[in-house]
Amino acid sequence: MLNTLISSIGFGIAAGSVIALASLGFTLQFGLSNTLNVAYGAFVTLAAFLGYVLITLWGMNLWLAMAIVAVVIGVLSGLYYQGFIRILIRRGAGIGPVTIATAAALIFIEYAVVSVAGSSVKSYGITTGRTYHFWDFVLSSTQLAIIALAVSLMLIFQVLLRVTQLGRSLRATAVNKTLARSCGIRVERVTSITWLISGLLCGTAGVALALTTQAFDFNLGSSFLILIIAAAVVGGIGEPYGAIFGGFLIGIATELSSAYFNPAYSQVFAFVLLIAVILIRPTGILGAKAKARV
Amino acid sequence: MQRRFGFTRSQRLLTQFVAFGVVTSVALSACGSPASTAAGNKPSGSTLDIALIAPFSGSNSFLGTIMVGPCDGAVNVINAAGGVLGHKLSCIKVDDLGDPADAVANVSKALATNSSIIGAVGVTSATAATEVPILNAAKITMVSQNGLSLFSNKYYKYFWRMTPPDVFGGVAMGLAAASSGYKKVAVIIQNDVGDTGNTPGIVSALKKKHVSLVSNVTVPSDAASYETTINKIVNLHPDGLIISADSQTTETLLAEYQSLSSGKVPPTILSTQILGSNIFPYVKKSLGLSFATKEMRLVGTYVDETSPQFKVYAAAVKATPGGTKLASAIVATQAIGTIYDGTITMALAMEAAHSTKPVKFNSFMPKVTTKRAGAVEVNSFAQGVKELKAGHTIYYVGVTGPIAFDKFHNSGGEFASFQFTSSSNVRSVKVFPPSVTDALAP
Repeated sequence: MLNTLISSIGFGIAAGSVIALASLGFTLQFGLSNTLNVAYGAFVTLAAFLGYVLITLWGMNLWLAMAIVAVVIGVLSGLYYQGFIRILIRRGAGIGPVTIATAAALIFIEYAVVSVAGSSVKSYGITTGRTYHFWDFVLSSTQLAIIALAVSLMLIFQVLLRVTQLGRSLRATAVNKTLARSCGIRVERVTSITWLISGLLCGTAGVALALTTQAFDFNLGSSFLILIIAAAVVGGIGEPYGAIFGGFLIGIATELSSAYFNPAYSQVFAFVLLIAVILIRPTGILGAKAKARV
Repeated sequence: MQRRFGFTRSQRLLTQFVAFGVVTSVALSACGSPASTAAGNKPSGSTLDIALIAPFSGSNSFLGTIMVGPCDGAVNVINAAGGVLGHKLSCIKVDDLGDPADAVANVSKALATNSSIIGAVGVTSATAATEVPILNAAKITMVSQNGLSLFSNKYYKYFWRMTPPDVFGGVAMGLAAASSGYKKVAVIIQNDVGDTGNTPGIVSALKKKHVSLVSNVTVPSDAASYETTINKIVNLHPDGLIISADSQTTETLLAEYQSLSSGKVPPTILSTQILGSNIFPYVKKSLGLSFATKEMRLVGTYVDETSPQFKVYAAAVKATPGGTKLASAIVATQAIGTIYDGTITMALAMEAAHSTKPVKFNSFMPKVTTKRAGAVEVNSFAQGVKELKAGHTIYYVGVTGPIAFDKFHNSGGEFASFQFTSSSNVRSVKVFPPSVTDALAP
């Protein structure tokens, strides 16, 4: 019984690290520009397919390909903000119309991917590697690498947020744009950079997710998006640490429910958790606390 | 400062024009309800459409892809023989995305906007429950490839099926496990209407064949991880796996099993519904050629590859665009073969009824397929037309064998297990006749 619990937590951490990476990017976008960017799922899909081109078709090294994809998706995310979201916001579109517009962008991007890459299932063809046993944790070398990568990126982000001028500007902008602007912070520039950073995280998560699932199609990001949003909301939407916490929580909750309940409803369990958190603490688990800290 | 919408006059005119166009087209399509299409009421020489309703996008799009060859192949054979009552036939794709919600919108739209549709094929398990009532209400004769048990005892006038219910597919999967000598089997089923339909049959067959069922789990599709579920199964040390899921989920399950069991995956039985996806190259690369060709079996409905009509069918499929590439997957799958037979049967029914209107020819579906005294067996459209013109009654025996519709318009078939060859073709290994599968059904 205990070994099932421990192994499930291990699997949950592995799955949660990918969710946390993606969720961190998503929540940054929301925190800085108050935009529920549904098209984020399409960027995850795009990242997975770009990874397919580089890794499977061109035979590039996995980690190099992941870095290139992250940069490409980061740039695309920045352009997407500048050329689409920012214009909508400037024209006075509220969160509702902007969200619908991003949903349209999701469909557009996914079907653009289909038109180029086809609708068949793709795979990087990379095996998960050697399996390691620590106590009752069972993790493959690929999973360990993804966890290490996720933790490293989160630590880098922590340093960026706490130590650098950009991080301070970012936090100030997230709390109050008007006040930040009056303090001399170039809010638009900070927001654009944040969309670029969130794209980097999204690109990394897309390739990591495709590696984890081994097989994927153009629906990858859409089916994963709901978990990303759930993680962001559970942790406290707009809160970077909340997204990381939420990602791991959702990952572990999903695996634990597979261990002790019917696996068919494992994702339902994650959403029961989401509803419970919203009912008890509408701002998310770290929501109010983080605000107070800032 | 926020800008207001500052359209120029020409932009305003363009917007009004587009809005008028949208409103007009919506109004026109709303007026064209399915019941008012007057299907088949077309001047002689015009082309009539057979709607191939299947997923052409989404995770099950491979299913739609392999259905195109048999539909186009049948239509080409019919047209080469002079068409039906002066009309050429054509297959048109209606993409239901394998999703009931999309199916309602897309099928309704197709019927409302295309009055040339006189018949339908496809209509697979994932969407049949919503599509069959729509087509039936529109009085469109359909030959469905769904395996839902629901249609085994529910009457729809325009519904016809030559594919056995999923429960028998499950029986055949269990039987394949038993005949392969497995003693401890783990079953993993994807949580959708088509795959879960296999479960009762698998459980019943394994029980009656005294094979131990060590695990029977249902998993959601396309999840980020199934590792906890797989780890539990690995620890039960099954000597065989039965997986009924789409290709993406199957590949994830196999990869995680491989990862958690030090690279060793027990012999695995899959459904032939997965044929046409990239399952063979994936398994060959990740688990090796030996596993792909010897340890992995696929179970599905069977066609007799030695019959003369099979050769005609295979040639017809291969002659279609993309047919050569997918021929192996297509011709080995009986459920797909019923698209070909279903289209030929509908065409023969039209000839026998002297009408291309479904309301007239629908009742002739059993009249051109039921074996009875004095009727002549025909194995092709051209042969059928010739006999009908000679004043004979006929019964069509197609590539999927004899057809005998019951009162719910169902006609079953045989099952078989298949294996991949090293060149990714598929060959049948063992045939399970109806007498055997019937005895093991729940």
